[in-house]
Amino acid sequence: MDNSRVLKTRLWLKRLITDYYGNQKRLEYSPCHLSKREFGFGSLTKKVTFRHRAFPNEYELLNYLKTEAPAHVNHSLSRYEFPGNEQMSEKVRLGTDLIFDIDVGDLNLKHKHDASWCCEDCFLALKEEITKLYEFLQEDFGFTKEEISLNFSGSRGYHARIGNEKVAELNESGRKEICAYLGTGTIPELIFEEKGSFIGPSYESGSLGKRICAAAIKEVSKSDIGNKENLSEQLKKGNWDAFPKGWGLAKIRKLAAKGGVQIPLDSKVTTDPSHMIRMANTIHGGSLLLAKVIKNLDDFYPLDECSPFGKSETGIEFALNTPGIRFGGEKFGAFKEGDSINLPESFAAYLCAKGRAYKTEQ
Amino acid sequence: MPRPYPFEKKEREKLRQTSISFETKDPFIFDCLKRAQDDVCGKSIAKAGSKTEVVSFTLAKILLGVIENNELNKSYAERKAKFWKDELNSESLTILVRMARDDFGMDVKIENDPVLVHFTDYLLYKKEGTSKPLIRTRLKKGFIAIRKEDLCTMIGQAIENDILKSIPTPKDLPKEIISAANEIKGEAIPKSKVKKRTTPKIKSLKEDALPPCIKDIIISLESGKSNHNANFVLVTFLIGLGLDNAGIIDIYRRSPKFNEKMTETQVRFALQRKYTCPACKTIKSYGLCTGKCEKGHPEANYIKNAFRKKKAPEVKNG
Repeated sequence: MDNSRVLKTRLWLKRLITDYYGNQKRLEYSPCHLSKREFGFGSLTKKVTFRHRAFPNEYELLNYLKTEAPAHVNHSLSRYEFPGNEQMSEKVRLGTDLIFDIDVGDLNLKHKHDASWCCEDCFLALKEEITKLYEFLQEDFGFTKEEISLNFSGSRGYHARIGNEKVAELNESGRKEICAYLGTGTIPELIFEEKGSFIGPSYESGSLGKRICAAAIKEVSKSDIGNKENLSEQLKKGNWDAFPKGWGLAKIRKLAAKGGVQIPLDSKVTTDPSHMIRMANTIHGGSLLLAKVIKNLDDFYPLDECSPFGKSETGIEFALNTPGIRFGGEKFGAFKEGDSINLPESFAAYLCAKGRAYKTEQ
Repeated sequence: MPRPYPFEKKEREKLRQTSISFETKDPFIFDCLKRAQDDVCGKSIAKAGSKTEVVSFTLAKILLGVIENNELNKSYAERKAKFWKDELNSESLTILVRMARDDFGMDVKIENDPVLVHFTDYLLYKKEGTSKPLIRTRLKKGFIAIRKEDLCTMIGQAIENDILKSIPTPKDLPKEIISAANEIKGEAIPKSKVKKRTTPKIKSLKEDALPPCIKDIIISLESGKSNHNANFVLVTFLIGLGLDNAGIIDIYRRSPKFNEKMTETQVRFALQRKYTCPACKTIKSYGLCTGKCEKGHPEANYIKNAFRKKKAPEVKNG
């Protein structure tokens, strides 16, 4: 690594962040009960370098962002009586937001690029998961569209925030149950063996059971099992013993799981009341994209919409081989290590923040 | 006509509108206090009229507030919740739903036969370990279908939570309540649960290390004006520090009303019952706190003052 080039690149990125916050007349988004939140800020190299900051209002927070231009702006999921106290026990928790986090790293995708990169297919897979979560939250948990706020995480994920006062009272074990319902452990909890029989959900089993049942029936129809129609009818009634001989519990669970009813959540975000999350509509220092609030999920593609920077040409040199990608509505690349090229400022900032390129003189 | 329950909001509201005081020497309030005392100690209590039940329930929570023992609070709350949960089983579903809504703010409704409860309330009030996990419920549009027994269990849990939340931090209490609380301390708190003392035994009292409240109690003792609570605090404080009986009696000898035989009996009695010195918070509620101390217990303040190492004077170089 060439230290002087790294430093020069970081200075350029820092200047971009300073200019961005410097031009803000007001915050486009602020968390509810702002004065009761703890804030934490990070640099270009670390997401949280210090925390336990509190602001009485939006104006003070914006002033801080203008002066300090932090690369990461995080706030607590919890509201506190004394958010600025350093000891967690002295903050006095008043309630905790219910937030879900889906990150591309949890999807176990096998795309042909290094783990730090996020290709168009990765973003597509992420969108499928957040769409599924959005449906679960409405269909199963009964939250209205107005209560659910979705935003891009700023790098490789999505956040869903629930604006409902009642859920703020839920304790850690209640939140763990919600996570278990949405993701980890769903199938083994609902399809199990008891006294030599396979027990599983039916079409009468509530939203989740019905969904698992439907997923299994869909997979049965695609498989080479004999007498599919009869088996599907039996599964609708909850008769999981109807599978032909040779189908053990593990195989049945695997088939049901194929239907994709589990959502890969980062459950720590949902369950840990002391967790901090990126403030929506602020810059992510690891991508220089905004953690933008999503108005229309169907048409949303983060790399087209989330860069706050312009199209003026900026010179960069690639430090790593980088696959081609659509950014800001245009298709770029692929690029090889050592390629020196002029690119729109927004894309150049994205690549530099991701550590794939250095800023050059041009 | 459903029977009234002391935890219901409307019953508490009725109580607020009545005026009851120890000063009037009304036997009703003394009966209620005795009932509350027995209830906190876990003794069986006979059914009574709704007013008696509401007043003794309120007094029981005040007594718990004075005693400040988490285990006692928990066991009382659990016992009452279980008792009322069993009683509620015989109530109609309509009454239970009304109670869940009005008294505990649950989002619950009857739709055809099953009761539908909002999942947040289910998660807040379901009984850990016995109720179904969320994943095995029939959750649809935010509501879970539950049985009447499940609703009773949830109300039981809500009662328990509510009792624990509503134990007050009492101040300026009548002496009748303070002495009832002291009696419970000796009787209801299991001996095994009493924290083992780590206070070192002292041979003589360093009077300059005494916390302000104890200093003032000794002054009032010397002028013959110390009351029952003050004497209780002083004797338990001295016992707690490990001063021997003769040393304690010597302190009481300063009183113009000193009676050696009576003092001896009372000190022995306090020792036998293993009474402990109240914390500063309780001493404040007796009206005996006369200064600001760093620690929350007079014994801790004495130890801190008596064994504090004197700082070496700062030496400036150059």
